Amino acid sequence: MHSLSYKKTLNYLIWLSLTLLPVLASSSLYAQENGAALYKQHCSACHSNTGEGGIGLPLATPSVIESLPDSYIKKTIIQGRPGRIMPAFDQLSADEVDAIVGHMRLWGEQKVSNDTTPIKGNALKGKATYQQHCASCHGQNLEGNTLGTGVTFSRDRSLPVMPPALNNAGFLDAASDAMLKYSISHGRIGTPMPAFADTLTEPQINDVVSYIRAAHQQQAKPPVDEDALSLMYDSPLDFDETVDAVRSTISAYNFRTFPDRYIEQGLTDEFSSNKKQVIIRFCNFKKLYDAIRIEPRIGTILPCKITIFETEDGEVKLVTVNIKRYGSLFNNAQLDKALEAISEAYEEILDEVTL
Amino acid sequence: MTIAMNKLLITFLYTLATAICVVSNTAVATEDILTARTSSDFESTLEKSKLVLEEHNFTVAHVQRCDGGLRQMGYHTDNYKIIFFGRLEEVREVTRAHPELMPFLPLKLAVFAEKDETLLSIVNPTSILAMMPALEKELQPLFSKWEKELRQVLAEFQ
Ligand code: HEC
Ligand code: HEC
Repeated sequence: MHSLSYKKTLNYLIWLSLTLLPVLASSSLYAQENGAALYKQHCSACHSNTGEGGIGLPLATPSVIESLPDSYIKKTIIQGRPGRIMPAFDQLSADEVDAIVGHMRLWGEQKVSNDTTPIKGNALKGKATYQQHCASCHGQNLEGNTLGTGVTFSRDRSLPVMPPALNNAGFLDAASDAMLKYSISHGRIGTPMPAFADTLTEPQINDVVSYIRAAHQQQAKPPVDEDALSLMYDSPLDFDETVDAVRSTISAYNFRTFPDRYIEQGLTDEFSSNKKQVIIRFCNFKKLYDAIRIEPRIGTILPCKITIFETEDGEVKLVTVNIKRYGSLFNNAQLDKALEAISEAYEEILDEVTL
Repeated sequence: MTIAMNKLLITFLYTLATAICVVSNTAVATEDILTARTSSDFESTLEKSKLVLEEHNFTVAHVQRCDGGLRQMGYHTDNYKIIFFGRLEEVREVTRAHPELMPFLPLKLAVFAEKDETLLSIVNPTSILAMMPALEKELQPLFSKWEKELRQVLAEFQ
């Protein structure tokens, strides 16, 4: 008798859970309550927890949030900004994305319309207007030519907010013509972006919108670098000679060297460290500074280093990272360019020591 | 009979609870550069980073002052330091078997100030391995473990 009522309870519970699980799986309730937590987890590192900006643009400024349609924010989250640091958060569920947008709406409502009709203008005329009024900030080719993105209080900057790239595939796919027009007309009060409603006529603004759209269609995808991530060279010299040769070649190339370290140094006591694995770290402060301005997180892969080691058979080798390939993890076209110069210096130093 | 039923019920409830936890857990981002922001100031964050790494059984090998060198050369920047850390056995094992991984070891955590807040960043080890397909199979367990541990380290600041 007893066990029968247990069976009933069990059946009931199974039924209950089967009904409940899909609800939980969509996690909609959960997501709504956690917009703030999701924003903090995925966005605050770059946009700050209050939305005042960082590596990413300010979002909470009233003039900004009012000009961002929900659909634009959602697409921006899902697709990110290829080549402009912001990653694609394509692993977030639709409910989670909604929850983040819901959280951001606490900063201000959307004032721009949801209209998605293309705006008709004259792209050629728009180009001339763009060159005159916009290129100084957004770049000759809409690429956002100032060093770095967003806002920072930690280093000198030419502007308090760095103008975004307007030719970015992620940006243009997300932005409607109505949003472009609204942002240009109203500007972004509290940021360097001026309002052009009084400076330009409506047809002129329409022309600029058409120009921005047309430029996008010519944009090609950046090539993918498939070279090896780690580069290994044989040294013709013995271990100590190699260390000396690397150090003196580095100075000849205008890099400062830091004191050598063993890979294992500090992980164990001095006597137990493998002395046949030496790291030579070096840096050109001008290049490092530029790189930090472009991408403040660059300290995770710079300064440069060359590691020299001796194998069990007594062969001496040099190993370094392919900095161009490594840097591609930052999704930052400006950084790719800056690292190209550093990469060439690496190659020349290694060639000189090993040839 | 009743006891068996009890057991069954408990197992069932336990499974249900686990399922709910799994389902409601937020998706883990595939970020290549793991980054956290804390509202604590730079000095206390730097000190806490060392402690948290040690709590996760990493050894802190060295702290490099990037800001000092930059400032000396006339480039103004706020506090910026890099913590080198790892575990001797893991580092020794990996560099012995795969010297091509030496450039990535020891691991590096960048800690830098942004106004009165502080950011912490580290390259996702799994992203490094994804660019070295020949090693992926063998080293996936170790690198995934590192990723998990480093996410836990960063989570203590967010
Ligand atoms: C003084 C520099 C400056 C000038 C001149 C300028 N902009 Fe901007 N623009 C900015 C900045 C900075 C932002 C980002 C503001 C923010 O959201 O914080 C911006 C934002 C925008 C946006 C929104 C982009 C986005 O990601 O949401 C558009 C569109 C835009 N500008 C177009 C133009 C056009 C077209 C012109 C010329 C008619 C122009 N801007 C002139 C600095 C400038
Ligand atoms: C790794 C840094 C980073 C992360 C993380 C990040 N963003 Fe961004 N975000 C950026 C950058 C950089 C830009 C500006 C791109 C440019 O300058 O061209 C941007 C732009 C944006 C814009 C466009 C703003 C405008 O005025 O048009 C929105 C909206 C946005 N991000 C939302 C988010 C949300 C929501 C999240 C979290 C799900 C997020 N971002 C996570 C770096 C980031």
